[in-house]
Amino acid sequence: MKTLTQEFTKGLWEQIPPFRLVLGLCPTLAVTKSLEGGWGMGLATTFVLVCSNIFISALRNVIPPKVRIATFIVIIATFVVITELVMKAYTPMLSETLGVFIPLIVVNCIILGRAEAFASKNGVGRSLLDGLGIGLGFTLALAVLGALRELLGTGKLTMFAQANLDLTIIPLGEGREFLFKFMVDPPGAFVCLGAMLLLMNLISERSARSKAA
Amino acid sequence: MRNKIWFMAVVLGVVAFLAGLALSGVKGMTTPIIEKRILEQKIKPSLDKFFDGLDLENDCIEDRQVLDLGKDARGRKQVTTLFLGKKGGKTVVAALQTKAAGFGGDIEVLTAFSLDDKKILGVKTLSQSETMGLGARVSNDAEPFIQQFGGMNYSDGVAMRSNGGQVDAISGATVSSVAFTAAVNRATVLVEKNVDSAAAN
Repeated sequence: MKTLTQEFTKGLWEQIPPFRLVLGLCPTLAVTKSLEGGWGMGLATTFVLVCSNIFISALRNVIPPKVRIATFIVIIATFVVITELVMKAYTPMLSETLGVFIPLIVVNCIILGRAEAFASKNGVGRSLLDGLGIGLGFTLALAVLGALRELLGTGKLTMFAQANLDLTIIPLGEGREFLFKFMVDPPGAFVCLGAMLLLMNLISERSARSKAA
Repeated sequence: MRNKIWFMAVVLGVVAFLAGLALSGVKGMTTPIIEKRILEQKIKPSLDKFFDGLDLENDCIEDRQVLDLGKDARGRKQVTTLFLGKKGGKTVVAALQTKAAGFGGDIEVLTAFSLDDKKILGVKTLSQSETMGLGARVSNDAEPFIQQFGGMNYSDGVAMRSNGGQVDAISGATVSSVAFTAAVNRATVLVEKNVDSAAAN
């Protein structure tokens, strides 16, 4: 049995969703055109994941096994709609950037995956930490990917457009919008994701080898 | 007991009921905020642009009216918001929101009218969920499809060119273009029907 700290930290490296579990790739590729899109999507998913994990683990002894998936989906969908409405009301620009990908959190396999594989078998405390860890790992991955793509693609970093917190890292000439447009196009997302997977595998291989030696 | 069919139905029913309750609560709390935001951030800038240089006497956002459109096919009450601009005590411009079902959901359109010469001043997409790169181009104000409505005479309504009208579709997005045009046409019909009576007030 893992310790409580391990339940939390496993999501940050060991099982970081897009790279290790290789789950939730659709939003990973779609919304990481900017840093803001990355962390916004990550935090929205984290909220849904933590809430659904808490409710599902609390109800795990009541929910009949035969209708568990239906029940999980109802719970997940409820939190997704709550997230969508709250974001529309309070962070309208972010909600417009993410658009249809917020309602699509319902079908993000990380959430149903954690519900089925973890929350339906573990207690509330552990499920909360698991959701938080995996969610923040997802946020971290999306933010890094978004920052990388945006920086290479446009030379800018949008932290939070609503508060005008944009940084221009590499100034471009007048009238020039893109530094390397490929990076903010969909194929650039695949290349970036592949490069980061490679990097992560190299690092973990190195550390495994140095441990063995 | 957990495998009895009635128990499954009860659990799923109770979960769904509580979910519905929670959602209607959140919806009730956020709807006024979202409406206010759309009014301030989407409708106001568009109206300022459409009515620019007209020196209207009133604030058409402040003086907005709710227009009752009767009931839809499912018996739900339909309303829209009407914005009227006055000059010399006479209503000279109007704008209103209408919607029509597009390819991926409702397209909501704001149409502004100049009443004296029966011309459309401009149109603005307020919300849409059309296909990226095709129908979603209705969101772009610089799109020729959107621009062509500016200055269009609406006394005979607006229709697609394929239907004997004056509107050219976005190629590859016929369904979205037809829906958008239908929404604008609906606005022209409503303005013709409702605005004279409103001017008398």
